[in-house]
Amino acid sequence: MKHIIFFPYHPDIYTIIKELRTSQTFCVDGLISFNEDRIITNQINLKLRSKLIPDEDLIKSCDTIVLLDNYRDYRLDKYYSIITQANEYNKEIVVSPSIAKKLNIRKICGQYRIMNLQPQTVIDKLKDNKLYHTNIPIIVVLGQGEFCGKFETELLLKHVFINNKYKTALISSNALGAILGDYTLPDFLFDDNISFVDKVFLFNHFIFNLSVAENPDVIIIGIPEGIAPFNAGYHNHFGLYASVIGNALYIDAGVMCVYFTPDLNENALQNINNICINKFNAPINAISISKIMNEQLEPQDNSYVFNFLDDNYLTQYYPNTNNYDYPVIDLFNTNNAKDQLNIFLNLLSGNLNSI
Amino acid sequence: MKNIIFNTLKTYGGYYIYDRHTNSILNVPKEEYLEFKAIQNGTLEAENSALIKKYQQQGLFIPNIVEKIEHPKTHMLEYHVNNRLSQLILQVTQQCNLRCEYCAYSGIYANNRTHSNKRMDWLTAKKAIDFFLDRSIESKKCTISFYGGEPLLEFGLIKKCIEYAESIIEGRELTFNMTTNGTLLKGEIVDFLVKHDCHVSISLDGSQEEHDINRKFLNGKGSFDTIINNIIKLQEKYPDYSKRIHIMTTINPYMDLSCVMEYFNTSQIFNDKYIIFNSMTINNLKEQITYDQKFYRIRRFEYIKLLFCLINKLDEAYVSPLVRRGIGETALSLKSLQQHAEIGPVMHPGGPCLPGVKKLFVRVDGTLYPCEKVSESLDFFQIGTLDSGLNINKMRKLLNVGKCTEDKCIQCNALMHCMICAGQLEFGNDKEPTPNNKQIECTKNINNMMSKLYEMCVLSEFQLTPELEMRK
Repeated sequence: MKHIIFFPYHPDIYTIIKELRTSQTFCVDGLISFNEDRIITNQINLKLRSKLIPDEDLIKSCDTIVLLDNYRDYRLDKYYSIITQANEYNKEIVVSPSIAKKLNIRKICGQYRIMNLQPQTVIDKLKDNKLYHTNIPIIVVLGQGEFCGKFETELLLKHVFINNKYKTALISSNALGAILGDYTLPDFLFDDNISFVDKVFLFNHFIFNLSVAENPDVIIIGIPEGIAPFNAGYHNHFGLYASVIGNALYIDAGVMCVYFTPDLNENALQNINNICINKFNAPINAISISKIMNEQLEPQDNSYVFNFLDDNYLTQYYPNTNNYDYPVIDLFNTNNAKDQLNIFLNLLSGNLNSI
Repeated sequence: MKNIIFNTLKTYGGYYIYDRHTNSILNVPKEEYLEFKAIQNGTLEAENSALIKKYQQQGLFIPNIVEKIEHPKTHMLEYHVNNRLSQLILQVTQQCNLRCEYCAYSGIYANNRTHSNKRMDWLTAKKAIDFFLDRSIESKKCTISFYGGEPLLEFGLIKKCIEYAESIIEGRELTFNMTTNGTLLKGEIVDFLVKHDCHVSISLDGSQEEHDINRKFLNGKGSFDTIINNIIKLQEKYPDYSKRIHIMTTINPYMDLSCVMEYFNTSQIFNDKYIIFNSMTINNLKEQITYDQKFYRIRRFEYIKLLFCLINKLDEAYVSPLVRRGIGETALSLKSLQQHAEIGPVMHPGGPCLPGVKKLFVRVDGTLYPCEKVSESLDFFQIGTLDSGLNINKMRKLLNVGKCTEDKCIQCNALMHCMICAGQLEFGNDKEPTPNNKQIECTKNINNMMSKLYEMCVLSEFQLTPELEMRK
């Protein structure tokens, strides 16, 4: 079993620690972060190890250090310092793709790998301009933007299918999926030198090849970023990735992840459903409400911030998901969420088996 | 039918109606203006007006839907307080080596402290920095400001604070700043501040004659010479740093404003400096102050130049710092009008910032306040202590200052433009905001808003700068 530690603090750490609790491959030894995060870092480390040990000892005792995204745009100095120490103690370094672009890793030398996992059938070159039909049901997880609960929803959906003995292939929108053994999205999707049209064909072939090689019962695909811009400052690539995937595949079902709101407007839900069907060919069979709120701090500002709501707040304000006619997934109570996600089992088990 | 909230405006060039529901100004023909005026005067019922119905079909002049006055961030306040504090202001001393006539702590203001020998000790300062950092995990930037009295009287403490903060902050962008009277800005103090990039604003009220009227040492001697010598030496030693110094001038009735402006326009020392003019605060003064006619002539003249700038007839460089912030304010007002944001059932005046979150002011003894401008003597403004933590209920009350005039705010024309915060109110003998003490500020706000809207109408009749357009 490999012992891993993470740097720095990132809100996804809770999801990944929870998922790895039963892992036979990895054991989370601890978290190192910036000094400013000491309270939260200590809380997490005490839960993992029941005692606090110095950062250097954590690095010495682990096998692998995972470098997470710099979601707060902090200075990068400590990233380099951690890399230097990891090299000194001959530790494996795994880097999220996003932070790898910002760090000058080669400058530090040493061994590292980018956090991703691709099927053996991954392609990087277009072989023809044909769209191939995949016989396997495809469920997509879309969202309003980053930090809207897509990763958590993808994993919950995966567990629902696995627990019901379905062979499941998950292509996660989050690079951390690689640590859990799930596939991550192929690089060509994010390559600015590849045209939209070629991306559609490439993605179609990617999924087709996967379906032929592994023959899963269901494929779950997390679609990165959001389906539409918020405003001039937050464009979500104008729903580019949803558009590529929606054009590449026949989508059987979908979950739409929305930011936390204490009260969902059912008209708005219907509008979202219409957008997803008409723009991305993605039916939305359920809405998942995140535990994260996005907020405009100043009215005249174009930028948004993310509020990672704690249990105290959510206990008071998380909406009662039973109050809606539309299926709404309760991410605050994951047992409820798993029950609610059973609708997808029912959907797929109702499929007619035709030749 | 619930009442429709609107206002009519007439300029020499046109007729306008302000719709509160969509926060829009419409340019209308005279006949429509007259019909709106009749509705406003009560000689015509709104439900009998085909004109109103026509506009309502386009989403305008909808009857008042506001049901409640509550700040939209009331429920999120606790989250922000625990995670997003952004500026810490440390009152390192209540003492000053000057005795400026108009100082907030000179005793001329009601409900405010005066100078004293109280100072912050290192343990309190360290506790404050730790308190702040532990509650700003989601803030990308942190600012630590030093306040007084004259903060540089406690240079030793400031030095320790800066070194401590730099030693414990690894990721975040960290900035330091202070406003100083400039008399102690020399030698190793300057060297240290430059080394740690501490941004400095120096209070200077113009030429020696204008400055020394008010800003004197304890022995009655003017402070101008000392400050100018310090600025010159700083400029010589650290020219790049000195370009980023701000000069803060307090406009007061004892100065000759034209002399002050001429001084800053002609003095070589201030060629590359950013000059900020602030008016002496008039709220809570124990005795009224009056400015002479010359002051108002100058202000009006400079204001007209601002208006010419806004209609592209005058370069911004010719607009005096006295009124220059009007450019940004007008652009913001216009942007707000252009958004045509519909009013909601739950609204609140836009004045209050998130108390403690935008600024956390720590008094010498560790008592916490929402900013340095509020009265330290009134319990209403105390939002906690370093030992007991922040009091969310008190902070919610500060945030929801509109609650005390809820019925009036619901009906108020100026609701979408109101910028009243509790710190502006004259409490008199009251201990907290009341409908009476708030009403004075409400009246001022409504008048200001109407003036602003009128001005926007007039400006729209000329060629505005590209940002300054209006819905027609």
